[in-house]
Amino acid sequence: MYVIVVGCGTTGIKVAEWLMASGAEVTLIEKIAEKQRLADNLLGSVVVLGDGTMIDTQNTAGTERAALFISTLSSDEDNMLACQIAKHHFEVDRTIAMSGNPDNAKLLSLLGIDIVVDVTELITEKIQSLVAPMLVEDL
Amino acid sequence: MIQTSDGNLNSGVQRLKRIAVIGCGSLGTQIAIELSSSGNIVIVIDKDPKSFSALPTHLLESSRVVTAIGDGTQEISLRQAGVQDVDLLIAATTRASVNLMSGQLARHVMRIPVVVCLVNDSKLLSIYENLGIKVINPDNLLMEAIKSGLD
Repeated sequence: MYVIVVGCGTTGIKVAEWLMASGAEVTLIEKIAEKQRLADNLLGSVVVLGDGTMIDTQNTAGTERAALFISTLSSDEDNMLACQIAKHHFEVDRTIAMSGNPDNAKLLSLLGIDIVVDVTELITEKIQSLVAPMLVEDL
Repeated sequence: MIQTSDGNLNSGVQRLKRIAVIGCGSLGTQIAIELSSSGNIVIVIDKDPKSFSALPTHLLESSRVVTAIGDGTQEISLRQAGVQDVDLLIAATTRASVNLMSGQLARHVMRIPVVVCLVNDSKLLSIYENLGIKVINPDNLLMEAIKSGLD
C-alpha cells in the first residue's frame, strides 16, 4: 500500500516509521528544509520538501497513486486543506487528519475527512482513565 | 440578533445586504470600506483588535461597519458576531487554509447563502467550486490588471 504522510513532526515520523515497518510504501511531505533533511536522513530518502497544502507538492509526492493520506500538521486548517486536496483532486480513498480542537474535529468529519483523530479527546480520555482510580481510592 | 431595517415592507426598495468579512488585513479592510460605502452593513471579524485601526471612523460611528474580535474558523465566534443571518461571507485572511475552513463552516454548517474565499492558488478553484464555495485568487486579478495595463 502507498501512503502519504504530511508533516515531519514527532507524530508524522512515528507514524511513518510504523507504516514502513508494517510493509507500506511511504512518502512524507515537509515544508521546513531543516526538518525535511533530518527526516530524510532518518527514514531513508522518502521526504519531499514542500507545502503539503498545495496541489503541486502533493503531485510531486505521487498522491494520485496513494491509497491512504495522513496529515499530521499542527494546524487543523492545514490538515483540512491537505486532506481535501488529496480526496477531491487526487481521489485518495482514505484520508486521516489530526485535530487539536474538538470543535474542529467535528467540522472536519462533516466536511468529508474519513478519519479525524481528536488529539484533545484522546489525551483527556487517557488522563481520565488514569485519574479515575485515584478518585475512587479517595472515597 | 437585531435585524437591520430592510425593504421587505416596500417591495420597491432593495433590502440592505448584511455581509461578514473574516480578516481585517489590507484586503479585508478595503473590502469592508467598499461594500459598506455602497450601502451594505459589514461585520468584520479578526482575532487581533489592533487590525481594526485602519477602518475609517465615520463608517464605524454610523455602524455601517461593525467589528468583532474572534476566530473566523470557530462557529461560536461567528455566532457571537451575528454572522448566522448574513447574506454573504467573504473570508479574506492571509492564509488559504483558514479562509477555506471558515468558508466551509459558514456555508455548510451555518448555511450562509453565498461564501467567497480568497485563495492565492488557482488550482484549488475547481475543488472548492464543487464544494459550494466561490474562490477568488487576488494574485491572479492583480496580474491580469497589470497585463491589461501594459497592453
